[in-house]
Amino acid sequence: MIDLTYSRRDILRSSVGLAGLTLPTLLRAKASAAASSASPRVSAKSCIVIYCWGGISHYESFDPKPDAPVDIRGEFAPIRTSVPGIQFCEHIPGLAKHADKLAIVRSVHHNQGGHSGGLYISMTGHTLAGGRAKSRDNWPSLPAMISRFRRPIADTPAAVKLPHAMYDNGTLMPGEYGGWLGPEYDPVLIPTPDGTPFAGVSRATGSELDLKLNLKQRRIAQRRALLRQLERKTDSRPAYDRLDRFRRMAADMLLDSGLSEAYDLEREDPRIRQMYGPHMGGQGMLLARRLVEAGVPVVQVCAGAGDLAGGSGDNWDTHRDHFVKMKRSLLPVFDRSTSALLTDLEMRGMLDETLVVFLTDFGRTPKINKNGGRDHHPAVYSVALAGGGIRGGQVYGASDRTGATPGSNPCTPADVHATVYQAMGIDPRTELHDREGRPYNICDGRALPLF
Amino acid sequence: MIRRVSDRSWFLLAVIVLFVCQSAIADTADDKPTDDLANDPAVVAVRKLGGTVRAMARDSESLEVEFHVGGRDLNDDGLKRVAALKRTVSLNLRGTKITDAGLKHLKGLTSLRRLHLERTSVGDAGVAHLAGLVELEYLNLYGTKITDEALGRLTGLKKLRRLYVWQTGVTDAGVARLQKVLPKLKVSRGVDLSKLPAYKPVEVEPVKPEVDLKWMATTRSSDAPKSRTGSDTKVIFENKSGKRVKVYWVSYDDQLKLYGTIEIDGQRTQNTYSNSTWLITDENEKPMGFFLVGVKLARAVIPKAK
Repeated sequence: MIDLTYSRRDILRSSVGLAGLTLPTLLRAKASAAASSASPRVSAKSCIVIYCWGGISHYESFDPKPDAPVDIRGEFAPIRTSVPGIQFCEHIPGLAKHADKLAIVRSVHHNQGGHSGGLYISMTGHTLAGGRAKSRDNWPSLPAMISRFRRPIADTPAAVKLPHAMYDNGTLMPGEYGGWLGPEYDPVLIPTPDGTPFAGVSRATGSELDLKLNLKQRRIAQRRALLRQLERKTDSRPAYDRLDRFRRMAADMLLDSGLSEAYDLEREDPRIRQMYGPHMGGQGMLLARRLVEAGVPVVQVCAGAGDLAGGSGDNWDTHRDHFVKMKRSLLPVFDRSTSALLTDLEMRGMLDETLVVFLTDFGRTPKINKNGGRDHHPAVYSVALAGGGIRGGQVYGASDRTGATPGSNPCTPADVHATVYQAMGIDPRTELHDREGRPYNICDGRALPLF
Repeated sequence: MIRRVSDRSWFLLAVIVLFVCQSAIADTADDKPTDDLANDPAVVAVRKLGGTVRAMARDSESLEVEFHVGGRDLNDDGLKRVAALKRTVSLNLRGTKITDAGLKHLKGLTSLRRLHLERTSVGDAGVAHLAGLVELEYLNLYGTKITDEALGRLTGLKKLRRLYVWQTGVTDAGVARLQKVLPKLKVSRGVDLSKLPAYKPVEVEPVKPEVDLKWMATTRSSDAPKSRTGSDTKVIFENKSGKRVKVYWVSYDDQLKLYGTIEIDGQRTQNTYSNSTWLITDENEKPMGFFLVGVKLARAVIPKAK
């Protein structure tokens, strides 16, 4: 739902060309917001997007096929979940207990067989046009777009992503940025401060790592050091006149913010930390909860290593030794961390206002290849949603008998996005203008009936 | 806990970079709230206390009031000001300094549908003040001092659907009694942290090398090319040279980085990347040879020294 205060700010913003919004656009946005106000449902306040970079197998997660031929169904068995009639893979027993909170969509499909295209369409709802390079002409990612409609509480970023950016063999992938919304909508990248790292390659990004301040002891000396650092950092920017203002805000942030508290995982009950697991995958989910609790509207968590690096390391691109990797390293961390997140959000009374979305590039092939792996398979795969008004304990759509194509209710990543926008109280048909002033509906999909 | 300090710093920088962007926006927009609420003195008073006051999106008459970052010092006196906002339907007082005595101010907020009191010092006496809030659908009391007695005070809240009592003194019997009166109510008890299963680390099988790396004998370290970036893998060095050796990584900028020594007939399992170069020297840093790492998990045998 579009907040009136926010819209006025947007008009002001557009007057200096920052967001490219026009007054008629906003009036339309408001009008359509009013039109959909018949629904009494409360919108989700926050969204956590869990992204399985590389493409998590639907067979070995939310859509096991125990009746398929052995060369397709694979080595793992299905298990019963908390919802009669819904089965998951045996290696996600924690999520199986949360099936009553999850809506599983088993009929998502698209036509992008590569990682960059798969990530792009899964995160933006659009097909990657032109080259693979990331640019300002790209569509905004789902988290970036949500943050466009959500004013953060107090001094927190509107969208955060953890714990690293997504790469393929050293190349940054398009699709997880603010795109044509502008750099101010790029989700802020924050590393997870603790936990066993994902095996493999996770590259550091950008101009970071040269502030040497201890957050725990908020001393004036450190504050001054920060200000000095800031001056150094910003002297290449043209906006000198804004320096004082943002110095003050940054210092206030450092000294008073609840976000620095949220970031300090050592403030958490050690038993809760244990519940999420000592791996970075777990501590990242915990950090996501803490950030949402502190008022960050959107948090994106990459549930694996940052660089696919030819399929080696802890990412979901399991072209070789699929079953070994899934069983030994990928699924245990994934299951423990995500099921802990759902448990934690629920018992704190946060799940009804926090939408949790599981996304991935694509599924994996029915056929197991000669290296014991499964290859890319965008023709059908599964995503899942929980909380934020989503009705749990349901499966939407189905894959066919062998998990190769949609069997019923085929849907697209854009439809999943429309569902997310609806849960967040954002009209998927809202019109925005890109930086050249071209009008776009924020989403081309149709919301799935998951509420 | 590696690089904790720099990780924190990293975060700070991210925050600061954000502010560079946001300040650009804020400076061009009106810095003060521009909604109609800004003209309401009661709203202004609550905002001064650090509270966020917003119109509920679908119903501008109703208010949502939250105390998050910056509003945690709210106390009973401040709560009096909050209670002046009669149109409040959603009130979040999580983690503030309010007490039982302060909750009496909430008696007049009879439109309240959602109330967060978690992680405050509220107890049974405070919950007694909520008995008349008959519109309540959601009540969060986790991490408070309440017991079953508090549950007994809630029996008149016929619209209550969700109640959160994790980490309180509430018992199974108390919950059962309340649910008998309010059958549509879902009570969330949370998990007992003392009974959580211990974390079982994933068993890692012994590493089995797939290939042998070729030994490139040389006495000049300049023969060993600098490493290039690649994908991660492992190398198992086996020292068959008959003497202690030192293991150096040739860095991306052509520097030698000492990683360790290997005893005679000793082994060292080394995480590395493909396209990396590892130089082996004797104890006196005299080069003996090097290995070039490939993609596959490899064994690197340092042969008998001549």
